[in-house]
Formats: sequence, structure tokens, C-alpha cells
Amino acid sequence: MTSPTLEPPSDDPVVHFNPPVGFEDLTDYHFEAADGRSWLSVHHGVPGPGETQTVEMAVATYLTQLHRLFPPLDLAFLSVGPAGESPLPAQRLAFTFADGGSQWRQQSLLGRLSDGSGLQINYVTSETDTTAERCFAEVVRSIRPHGEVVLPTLTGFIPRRVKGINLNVPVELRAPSNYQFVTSNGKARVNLRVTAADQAAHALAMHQPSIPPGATITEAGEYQGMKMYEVKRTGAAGPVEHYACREVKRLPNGLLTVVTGQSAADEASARLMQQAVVGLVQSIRAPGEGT
Amino acid sequence: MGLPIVFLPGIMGSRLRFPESGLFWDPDSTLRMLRWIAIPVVNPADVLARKIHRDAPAEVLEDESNGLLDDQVDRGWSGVAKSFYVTLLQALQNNGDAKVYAVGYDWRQDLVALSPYLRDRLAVVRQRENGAKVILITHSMGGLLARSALRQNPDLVETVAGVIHIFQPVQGAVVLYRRFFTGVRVGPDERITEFPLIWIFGDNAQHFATNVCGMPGAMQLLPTADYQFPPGSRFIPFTEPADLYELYADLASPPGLTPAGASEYVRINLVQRWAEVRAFHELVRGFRHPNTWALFGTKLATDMAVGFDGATVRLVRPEAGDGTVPGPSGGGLFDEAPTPVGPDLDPAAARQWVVQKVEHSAACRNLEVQAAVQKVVDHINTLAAATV
Repeated sequence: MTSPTLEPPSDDPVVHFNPPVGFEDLTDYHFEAADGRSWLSVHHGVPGPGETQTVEMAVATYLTQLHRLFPPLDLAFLSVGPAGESPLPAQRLAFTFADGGSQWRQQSLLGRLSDGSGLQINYVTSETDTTAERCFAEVVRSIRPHGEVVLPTLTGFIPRRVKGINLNVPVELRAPSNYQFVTSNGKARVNLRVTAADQAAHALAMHQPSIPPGATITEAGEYQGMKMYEVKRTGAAGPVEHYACREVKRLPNGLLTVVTGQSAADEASARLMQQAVVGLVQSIRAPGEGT
Repeated sequence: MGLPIVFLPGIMGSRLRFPESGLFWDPDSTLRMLRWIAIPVVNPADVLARKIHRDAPAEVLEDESNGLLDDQVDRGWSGVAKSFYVTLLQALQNNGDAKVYAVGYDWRQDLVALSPYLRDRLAVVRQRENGAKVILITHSMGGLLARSALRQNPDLVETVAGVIHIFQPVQGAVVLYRRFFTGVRVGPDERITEFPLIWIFGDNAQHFATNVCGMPGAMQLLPTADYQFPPGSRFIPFTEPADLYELYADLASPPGLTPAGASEYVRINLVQRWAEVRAFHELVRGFRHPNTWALFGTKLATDMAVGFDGATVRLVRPEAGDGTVPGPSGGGLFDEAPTPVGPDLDPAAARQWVVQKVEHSAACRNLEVQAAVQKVVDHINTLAAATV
């Protein structure tokens, strides 16, 4: 909360694109400061069948998990209760914890939207960050389902969209640079990486598919001009996947995008992945570039 | 000059970076592990599973210092969890003049397929050490990986002067089978306060199966066909199918491990896993490096067998293992009766020792274990010097 501006950081890796059809968005919407000392993660989704919990139950489950993960002396709860400033039924909690010689504070909001989807937002800062509470209150206040009228953005915040949610995020927290899409059966995966122009060399290195340990990779034809690769593991299951990888373009805002796809070896999964990669690549555009 | 030492950690003991998601598997950082905690108001159970699935690329986090010295980072120490292993690495380094290396690895992967990775890493160490043979020290799953690589690469055997296994689940771990029915559970899993990360995989059967089914390395820790408890009996009260791996795959659960109502994701993954589990077990069965020594644990309550009252699990947890690995599994490399570990430990007279009341994940921090390992290292160096 130091910058009185609505301009995102110059290296903010924001691009627009259409998520691939038939894939679930597994992206970690993790907005992080350049120095790694604060971040905001936004989780929005629909619980699986039989997984629906009330918000109060979800808070209790989350508290139990925290108790299990942290040594007792490293964790201190500050507050748990209804989130009055939230536009949806929600609970807030706050706790501090020790890690790596530092003290941290996490503020969380857990809520459920009218369509049954769930929302959890975690904001982690140094324990001594005196602006953290006010900042998180603004984030919570600004939450709106996509399509509803958004609140004006206060100085020091920029509007962000995460799946079906719009909210205002502290400007110093950069957008995610990786987006992951996976089919529900896990047989096809598509990844979009966004890289600042000055990191182009690193991005270019990612143009080849990643190879799991003990695997070999060979070229296996093309799909709509996109090189396909076949990856074989030496393990018992034999040939497992095809990979596809393609450099997209340098966008007018100087960002470079790389899309990779990976699928199981069956024809249907491979075709789904190929179509998703091509469609995603075609849809990528810089903010303001049109749809 | 002693021979260079290469250490292989156990499951979940290597630090990994997941470049696609920006997540880290880093047991040394609660801050990073916090991001793996399931988000109960949002998540279908398989979101975490698909992020940690073996198809999600990961790399060993070796380029980050993690508070270590430059030369330690240079020798791979930052690739393994400092909180579990660095006291052992430090002790070995302080007690000898040999270089101590650590090789972190992607513990989710098929232990058969990881063989070329380990072979290549050992080749790099040997190149740096002027072609010297190495001493391999392993913890838990690291022992299985070492045996897999040695079994598949006969030429590698000659380059290894000796192997010391610490708490290896030679015949698997019943606790893994049991958790497919219970998840990680307060009570029987109380000792995992040493290793709280395991909670991330879920405290009920559905979540546990969903999260683990995409990781062949973890699944290969299931009990092997050789494991018996009580002696002469299968560890579960099912005699059919006679083939253990068909039993694991049985869609009737129990005895099969596919939970009732499992998602397509779980079913697809488990079908792939059964072939990998069988192939790995058969590959390493009865195999060890000719110069092998082993330590295993006992006197802690450990899942040794699993009973069922209908579909309800009945725990069988005598104090006969290290809390995770049953004693008979840990001692499964040798037919000889184990010798209690102690100051008189003689590597020339015995090949394996049993350690009392030391928890599985804490083994490498235990001073008695460290002293025993050092004695074997010294013995291997003496043998190597005599051979030269």
C-alpha cells in the first residue's frame, strides 16, 4: 500500500485470453509483491459432489488443518467471526505464524456465493505491516460476482478478475504469470506462461515440452502447424503422453506468452489438448487489444 | 581420503518447485506448505491431486541456498529437506575427509523410470571426484530408488563401493494400504507430528485416494507380495484374488483400493498405477548391492496388518516397527536375525541392525543411527583401501 496510483507495476504480466473449453481452471490466482513479502491468493470454485460444507464448517476444517501443519508454538489465532464488510455471507479469520525466522500474519475470508460456489481469499503479510488490516478490508469490501456492478477502485488498488469474481487488489501485488487448465479426468493439461520481454530468453527455453525424469522425447508430426512431440517413459506403463508446445507472440505490451499442452496417449485426449492449445493461443491478446 | 558419499532422501524429503503453478513442496518452509492446504469451501478434492500429479512438471530446488553454505549447495544439499537430513549430512562431513553429496529427486515419479536420473547424477558426482567409487546412503524410499537403479544398471554396481539403507520399506508399508480406507487419521497417525505434511493428502478415504493415485512413487510403497503378517499369512484377511496386485486392483473395496464411488480421475489413475506397482516390486525383489548394510526400526506402534469388520477398518498396530515401516519389512533385505544397534556395532560381523523407538521420519536425526552409519562408512572405506 505504498503506491498512490492505479497503474499496475510495469512488469505486471497481464494478458487477456479465453480459457479452453472442456478444461477446468486450476490456476493458483496468487498475487505477489516483487519482494515476496506479501501476497494475496484467491480461490473460487464449485465444490465437488458431497463436498459442500457450510462456511462455518469450512472455517472449522481450515482451522484444524492449520493446527496440524504448524507446531503449536508457531501459531497464534487473532480472530474468527462473521465478515461484516463482505457483500456475501462469509467468515473472516486471522492468525500469525512463524516461519524462516520471521513472523507472518494471514487474514482469510471464506464465503459462499448465491450460486453455491465457494470463495476463499488469503492475504499474507509481515506481522508488522500496519496497513494489512485496512488493505484486506478493502479487498473484502470490493468482492463482486462477475456481471454485477463493481465498486470504484480506491487509490492503491487495481481491479482484478479471478474466474467468476471481480475484486480490487493492492497495486503492488503482481498478477500470476502461469495459468493451468486440466480436464476433470486429468488426461489433458494446458499451461499458459506469461513472461516479461526482458525475460524472453527464459521463456524461449520453455518452448520445448518439459520431460519427466527417465523419459525420452521425439517429434511426432504437426497439428495445424504446431509441432507435436511424443514422450515415452521407461517405466512399466510404457508410452504415456504426447506433448505440444508453441511460442505464441510478443504482445504489444511487451509480454511474451508460451502455451504448452500435454495429454494421455489416447486419440481423444490428444485431440482435445491440441484444440485447446490452438484455441488458447489464438485468443491471447494484450489488454485493450480487443476480443 | 574417504570415498565420496551420496545421500538419497525418502518420500517427500526432496524440495520441489512446480513451475507451472508456482507452488513449492518445501518441508523447510511452512509459508510455502501453507499453499497446499485444501480450501474446503471451494475445492473439489481432486484440485490438489491434479496439481501434485506426476504429470505436473517439477524440478528439484537445488539452486536456492536454504541457509546452507555455498559448497553445501554445490553438492546438492539444498535439494533435500534441511530439517530432516542436514544433521546427518553435517555429521558425515565433520567425521571424515570425503565429500558428502545429496541427490534430491522427484519422489512422485515411478521408481523404475527414475533410474536414469539417479544414474546420471551419480555419474556427475564421480566425474567431480575423479572417477572414485561412491558410498550410497539412503533413507526410506531413497533405498528403493537406489536398488531400482542398481538393478537396472549392472555397470552401476561396480561404481558403488557400498550401500547403507536407513529405515527402508523393503517389503512396503501397510500404513499406506490402511490410509486408502481411513485417510490420515488422528490416533493411529498421531506420531506424524514429526511429519505433519502428510495431513495435506486428506483425512478421509476419498481424499487420500484422490491425492495419492497420481503419484506412482508413493503407490510403490504398498506392501509387496513378500510381506506377511503374522508370519505365513497375508496382512489382510482376504485370500482371493491370490495375486496381491489383482487384489489391490479389485473394484470391490475392501480388499481393493478403489474407493466406492471413485471419480473417473481416480479410476483412470489407479489402473495405470497397478502395473507400475507390480513392475517395480518385481524388479527389485530379492535384489541388493553386494556390499549392503541396513538399519531398521522397531518398538513403535506400527500398522502391521489391517482387519475389516465389514467395510470398517480394524487396526493391527503392535509395537513392532518404526511407526511407518513394519519391522519385518524394514529387515526384509537379509535373512539373518538383526543385531541391536549399539556401541559395539561391527560391520564386519553383521549386515543389519535394529533400532528401538526411533520414528521413521526422525531416523536421520537420531544420534545412534548417525553413529552406526558412520561406523559402516568407515568400514567401507577400509575395505576399499584394502582392495586398492
